[in-house]
Amino acid sequence: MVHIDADIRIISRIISETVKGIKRTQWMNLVIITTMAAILSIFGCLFRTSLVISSFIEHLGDSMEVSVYLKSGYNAEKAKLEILKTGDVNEIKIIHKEKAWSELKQEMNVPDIKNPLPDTLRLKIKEQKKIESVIHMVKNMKSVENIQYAKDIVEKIIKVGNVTNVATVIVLLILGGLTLSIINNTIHLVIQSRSEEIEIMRMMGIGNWYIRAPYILQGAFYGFCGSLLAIVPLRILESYLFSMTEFFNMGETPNYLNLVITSLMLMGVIVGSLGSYISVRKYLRI
Amino acid sequence: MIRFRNVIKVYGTQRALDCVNLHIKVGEFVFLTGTSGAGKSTIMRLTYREEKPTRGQVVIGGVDVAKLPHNKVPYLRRRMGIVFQDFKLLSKQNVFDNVAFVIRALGMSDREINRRVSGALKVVRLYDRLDAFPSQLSGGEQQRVGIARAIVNGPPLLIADEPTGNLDPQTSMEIMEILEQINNRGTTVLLATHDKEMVNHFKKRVITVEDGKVIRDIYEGTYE
Repeated sequence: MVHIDADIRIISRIISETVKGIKRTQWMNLVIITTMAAILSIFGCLFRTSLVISSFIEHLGDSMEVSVYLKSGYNAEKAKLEILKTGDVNEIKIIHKEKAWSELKQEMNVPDIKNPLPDTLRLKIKEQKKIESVIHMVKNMKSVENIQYAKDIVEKIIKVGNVTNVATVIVLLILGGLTLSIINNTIHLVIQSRSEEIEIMRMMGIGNWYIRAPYILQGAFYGFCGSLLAIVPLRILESYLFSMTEFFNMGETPNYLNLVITSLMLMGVIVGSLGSYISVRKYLRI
Repeated sequence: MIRFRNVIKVYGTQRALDCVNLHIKVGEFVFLTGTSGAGKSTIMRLTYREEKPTRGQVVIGGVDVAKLPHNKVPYLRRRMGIVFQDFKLLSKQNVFDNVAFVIRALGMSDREINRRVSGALKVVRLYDRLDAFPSQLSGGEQQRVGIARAIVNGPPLLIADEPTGNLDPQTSMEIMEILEQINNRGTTVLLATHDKEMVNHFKKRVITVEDGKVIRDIYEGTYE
C-alpha cells in the first residue's frame, strides 16, 4: 500500500513536472502545436479522402455484374452451387434460357426460330479485388461457355484503389518522419536549456525515468494538441465530401470521421512521444 | 564505507590514478588534498560512479560500483550526498524546492517532505530563508542550501568536492563547522580541498594525492 501510494505520488509529480516544462517552453509551444496541426491536418484530409475513394470504388464494384453463359446441357443450379463454393460471390441469379427467350420475344419482334440463348448466371462479386480471381475460376469450369463483364472498368477501379492506398502510405511515412523530426528537435532544445537541472538530478540519484518521462509526455502533449486542432480543417472537408457522396448517390457512407479523428489523435500522440523518446535517448545523458 | 583496491584510471594516454589503495571507515571525516590535476576529482568521480575504474576495484558500502548496472546507479547515489564547489542550485526554484526536489522524486508524502526539508535546513541554519531564491542568497548561504539538499535523504556518506573553493575564509569555516556537525551525527564525510588553513585547523585524517598516487595518509594530520 505504501509502495502504491509512493508510485501514485511519483506519477502525479511527473505530470506536474511536465506541466512546468510546458509552461517554461512559452511561445514555442504555440509554434510546435500549430506546425503539428498543419502536418496532421494534411494527413487527416488525405486519409479521409482516400477512405471516400475506397468506399466509392467498393460501391462501383458492388453494383458491377458478371454474366456467365452456360453450355447447353449443363445444369444451371449445379453451376451456381459450384461458384458459390468460392465464398467470394455475394449473390447469383439464374436466368433460364426459356424465360430469357420469352422476354426477348415480348420486347422485340424476333422470328419464330429455335431458342438460341444459353442459360445465364448473373454474379455479384463481394469485393472488386476478387473479380479477376472469380472470373479465372469460372472460366475454367466445364459448364461455362463464355463470360462477359466490364473488364476495362474493373482494371481501372483496381488501379485507382491501389494508387490511393500507396499514396496514403507514402504520405503517412513522409509526414510521420517530418513530425518525428520536429518533435525531436524541439525536445532537444528543451533538454539543452535544462541541461544543468538534468545534471543536478542525475547527481542526486533521481531515477532515470523520473528525469526522462516529463520530456516524453511533453512530446505526447504536442501531438495531442496538434491533432485536436487538425480536426477543424477535417470537419470542413467532411461537409464537401458529404455533398459529393450525395451527388454520386453512394447511399449511406460509414462514419469515417470518427475513425479519422481517432487515427489522427493516435498518430499525434504516438509520433509525439516517439519523437521525444528518440531525443531523450540521444541527448539526455543519464 | 569506501574502499579503493589497486585502482588505475586512464584517460586516453593520461594516467589519472596509478594503483590507488584507500580504505575509509564508517563515520570518518577525511580530507582529500593535493594540487590541481593530482587526481582528487577522479577519486570523487569514481566514488559516485560518474566514472568506472580502468582497472582495480571501487567498493562503496559493500557494492562494487564498476559492476553496478547503469540503471542501478541512482540507487547508489541516493545513499550518498554530493556537495559541489559551484553549489549547483536550480536558479528558478526557491530554497525549499531546491532541497525538496530530490525526495519528491522518491515519492515521499508532502508531510514527510516538509519534515525532512525543515530538519535539513535547521542543520545548515537556513530555516528562515525557505522562500528565498538562489540569486537572493550569499555564496555561503547557497552552499548551505547545497549541503541541506545533500543530507535531506539522510545518506550515510557525504562527498564534498571543494565545497569552500568559491568562498571567503570566514564563510569557509562556517561551512566546515556544519560539515563537522553532520559528521558528528554519524555520516562519513569525504572532502576534497586544497585549502591549507582549513585542513590544518580541523586536524582530521588527511589523504594526499600527487600525480595520481596516494603519497600520504595521516590521522589528525595537517596539509603538509
